[in-house]
Amino acid sequence: MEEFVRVRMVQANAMDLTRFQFDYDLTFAAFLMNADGTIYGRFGSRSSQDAMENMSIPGFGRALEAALDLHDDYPANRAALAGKQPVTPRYERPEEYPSLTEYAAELEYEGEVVKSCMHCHQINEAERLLYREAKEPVPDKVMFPWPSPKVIGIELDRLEQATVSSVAPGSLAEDAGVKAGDVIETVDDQPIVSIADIQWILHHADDGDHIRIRAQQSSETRDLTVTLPAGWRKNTDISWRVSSWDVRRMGTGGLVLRPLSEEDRAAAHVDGDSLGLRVDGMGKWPPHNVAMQAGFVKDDIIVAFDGRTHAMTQSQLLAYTMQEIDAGHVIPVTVLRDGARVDLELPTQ
Amino acid sequence: MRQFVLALAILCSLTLSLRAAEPMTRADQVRGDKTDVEDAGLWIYNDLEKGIAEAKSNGMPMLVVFR
Repeated sequence: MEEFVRVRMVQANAMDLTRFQFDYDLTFAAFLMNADGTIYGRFGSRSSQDAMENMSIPGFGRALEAALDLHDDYPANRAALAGKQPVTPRYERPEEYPSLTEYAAELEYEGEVVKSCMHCHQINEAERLLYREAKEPVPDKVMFPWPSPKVIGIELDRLEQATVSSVAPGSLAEDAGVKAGDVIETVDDQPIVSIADIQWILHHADDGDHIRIRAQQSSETRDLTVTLPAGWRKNTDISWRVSSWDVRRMGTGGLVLRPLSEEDRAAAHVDGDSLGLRVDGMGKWPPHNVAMQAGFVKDDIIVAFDGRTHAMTQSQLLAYTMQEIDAGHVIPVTVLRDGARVDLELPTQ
Repeated sequence: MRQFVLALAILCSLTLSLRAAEPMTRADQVRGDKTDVEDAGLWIYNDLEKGIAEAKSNGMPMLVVFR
């Protein structure tokens, strides 16, 4: 406990966005850093509804240990840490976003303290809203932020610092030669203290980029390269994100969708290459109740969406609404309900 | 092992203040959280500049948690 100066920040209000850049949909995020602002590493990852899937106390301990080693070597290792440092943000403070100007820098502890508190996920929402209101497609980097290494086929052991627990068959990582048991020492020359550090690199990566991984196993060090193809981010699951609720509001009228199981597909006669998303829930109160008002009911199966009938994940469908459809457009949707096809019209916001 | 204990202690100290609170409104929980954490003295609460000053003074690294 004595080896770190520990600071807990409880609000997004007045957050220094030139310094603290992390996945704003997280409910726990940590920076390991020097007092001069140099970041040694980040900790805090999530890629599904299970908030602890990618985090653990032992893993946090490994990250702390790695940060202490980096601190001991600082500033001699400054060059190696350069890639971890923040990039120039659009705004320096969240309250500069047009949709967040109502928030003050300080919480009203003597008054409406809860209402005065800006949540971190609101930053992601505010960023997407900029594009939406400008009638511009939300870029993939904003739509699919902070991709998990799973997107390139790497499953990391949450109990360790950066140890590969499995590699998905046929994945980009497998093609590059990554193997289960590999300890990832650096990515693009950046020392890795946690899964979040790899996500930082993927977050800023573009289609076509070559991600260089230095992996170590059984005293052997291998330098590997993962090449990111066009559209690689679109396999990211964003449905768990708190900020995805606002995307649902805008793009699907508040619908919460789930993929069909194989059994459901067979029962509904929806083949594996076709669109099949079940309505698992929907907003009941304005402005999240547009789908309910449009006539959608729970367990409807969406089989056509704006004329598209090919298979899509919920995340890909949400991205489609933010990248291909302007606010105010009415989307024709076909659902299966009790075995019959029903055509509905879904207004967007 | 030492870092495991350190990490466990750090994370527990973040949650203790919430678990010790009586059932109350969300606002009371927020205010109580501030009081509990400050009283425990293990964390600098919501004051980044104070943390930076302390770290510069003693040469220690910083752990800044958003929670």
